[in-house]
Amino acid sequence: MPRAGADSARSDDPTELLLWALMAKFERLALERYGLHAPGLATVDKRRFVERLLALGADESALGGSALAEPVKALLARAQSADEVAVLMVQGLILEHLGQAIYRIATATDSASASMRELAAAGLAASVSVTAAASARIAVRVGTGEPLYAVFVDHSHELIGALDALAEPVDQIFGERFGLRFADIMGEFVAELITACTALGMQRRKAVAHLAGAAMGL
Amino acid sequence: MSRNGTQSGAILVTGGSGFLGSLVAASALAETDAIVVLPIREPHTRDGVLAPIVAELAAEGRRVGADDLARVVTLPLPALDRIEDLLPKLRELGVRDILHCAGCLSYFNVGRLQSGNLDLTQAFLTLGKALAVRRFVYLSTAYSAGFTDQPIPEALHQNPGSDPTDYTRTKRDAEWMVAESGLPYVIVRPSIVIGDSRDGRYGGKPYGIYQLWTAGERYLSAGFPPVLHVVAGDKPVNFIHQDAFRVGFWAAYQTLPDGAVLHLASHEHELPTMRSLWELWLSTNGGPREVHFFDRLEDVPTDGIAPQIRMWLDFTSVNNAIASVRWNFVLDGLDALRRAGLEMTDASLATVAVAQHRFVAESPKLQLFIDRYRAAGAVKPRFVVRSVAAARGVPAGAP
Repeated sequence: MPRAGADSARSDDPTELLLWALMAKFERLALERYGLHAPGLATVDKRRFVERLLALGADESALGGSALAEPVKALLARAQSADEVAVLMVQGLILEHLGQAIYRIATATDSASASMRELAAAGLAASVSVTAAASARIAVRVGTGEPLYAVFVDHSHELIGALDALAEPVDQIFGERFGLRFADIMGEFVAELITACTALGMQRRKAVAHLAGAAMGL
Repeated sequence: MSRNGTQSGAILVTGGSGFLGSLVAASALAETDAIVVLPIREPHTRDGVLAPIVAELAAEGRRVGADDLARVVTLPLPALDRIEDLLPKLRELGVRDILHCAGCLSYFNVGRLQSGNLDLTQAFLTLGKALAVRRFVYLSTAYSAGFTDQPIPEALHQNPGSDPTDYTRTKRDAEWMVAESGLPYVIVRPSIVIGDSRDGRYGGKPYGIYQLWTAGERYLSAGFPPVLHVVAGDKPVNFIHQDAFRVGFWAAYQTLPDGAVLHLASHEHELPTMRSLWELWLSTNGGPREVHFFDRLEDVPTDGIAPQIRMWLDFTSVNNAIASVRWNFVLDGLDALRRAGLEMTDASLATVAVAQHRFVAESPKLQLFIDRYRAAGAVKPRFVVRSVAAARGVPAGAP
């Protein structure tokens, strides 16, 4: 049985640990980038969640030896945001919503352990705290509507294009084990991201058309 | 068109690293003995640009030798504010015609559209004037008219009430730029280009019907809900096969008078509708138990729709909106070319099926899905047309 506290999320399931090793890479990068360029996004919930993830001690070598390694490397390379605007768009808006999609599905996955579902719920809550702060800051720092759309397009095109290479390994590894399939993740992710974009004043059909093109490598 | 080795001077083709530009470059190599100049930008390379051109000619059974490849001159395309740096080399090569096929196909990225469709066109018009070219051919789009319920003339368009995308607006603006340049010009407006009518080969990115097929491959091939909601109208969708595009473009370049505008599109009578295209796809490749057709995305009941289905509907929504209205292209110019001997195949459901078959055959993911679908003994879906009223409750075709 899982123990209480930070270790309660520990599972010996190798596929679950692989998922957390994967998420830890992106969560750690996000927190680091927030600390450097957008301190308002390093929320208490996010910092606590990243501490919990790192405390799991998931073996990154398993991730490095999996079919996820290369597409994850390519995605990370496109996520090395170097200034506040890039961090707000890449981490605060796009990757946080991608994380929320993953956590939301994982939370509702019956075939996952209770500890995994609990940790996913914590990840979701932490991420929501960041996107709320990010949206407010984006409106101040970049603006809303058309000016924001142009910035969003520039920062999201290659990043979203790099997601497609994850489709097959995600389906093979997590789809078979948890029913966590790429198409499901993308469906949740795109729905949430579009909602966030329209809340920031972007035209829905423009945001959709851009995401469709980026996701299909156009 | 017959090979023409009598003309002197080189032909400059822009957009050679893109799909339609590479087809035009292939025609230039095959139909003339001229030097073919291809300005290319990094990260494109000469080998990378030549590969699809050679492949296209090889698919036609034409051998491309070293002497042919030696006729292709690739030049680095400088920044637009330094475009005139190309002039000495272009003069040395004796460029006589510019076939401007480069452009930006983003639907709404205004910055890129300004740069790729307007600024770039202006830059090559500047070069054309400096070189005193004999012909400037501009590759536009049949949809540059914007939304209209009137016949769409082979003439420059005034601004319509609305445009499907910023792409169509910038293409229309670029047409005016070309027409007002003072250069002897021809404007060619293809409709939606799809694979070759004979073997289905397609070298383009997933635009048009390929966007729908690709979205289906990526987001629907893991399985279907029992009932799939599809936005698909009953208006003809105008496709032109890439082989028809090639011969039509070349005929326009070679034979039309200065100032001509040509719609390069298929005659309407045999064109498929979106509904017939989806029936073809889902009946052939497998699908849900029932398919409900809606005219507009707004009519689709979203409650209970899985997120990936909703995403698929969203991702295909702009193209579906374009396909939901009738585009009545005047085809007088193309008819005249046909009477003069141009041979091309109009698109029909049967010829689109050739392209679809090729697409499916080249997709391991779809092959796997089809195998599973057939092994499960699934039957063809039942297709139901739902009106706006029906979307509120009762399917129009329901028993």
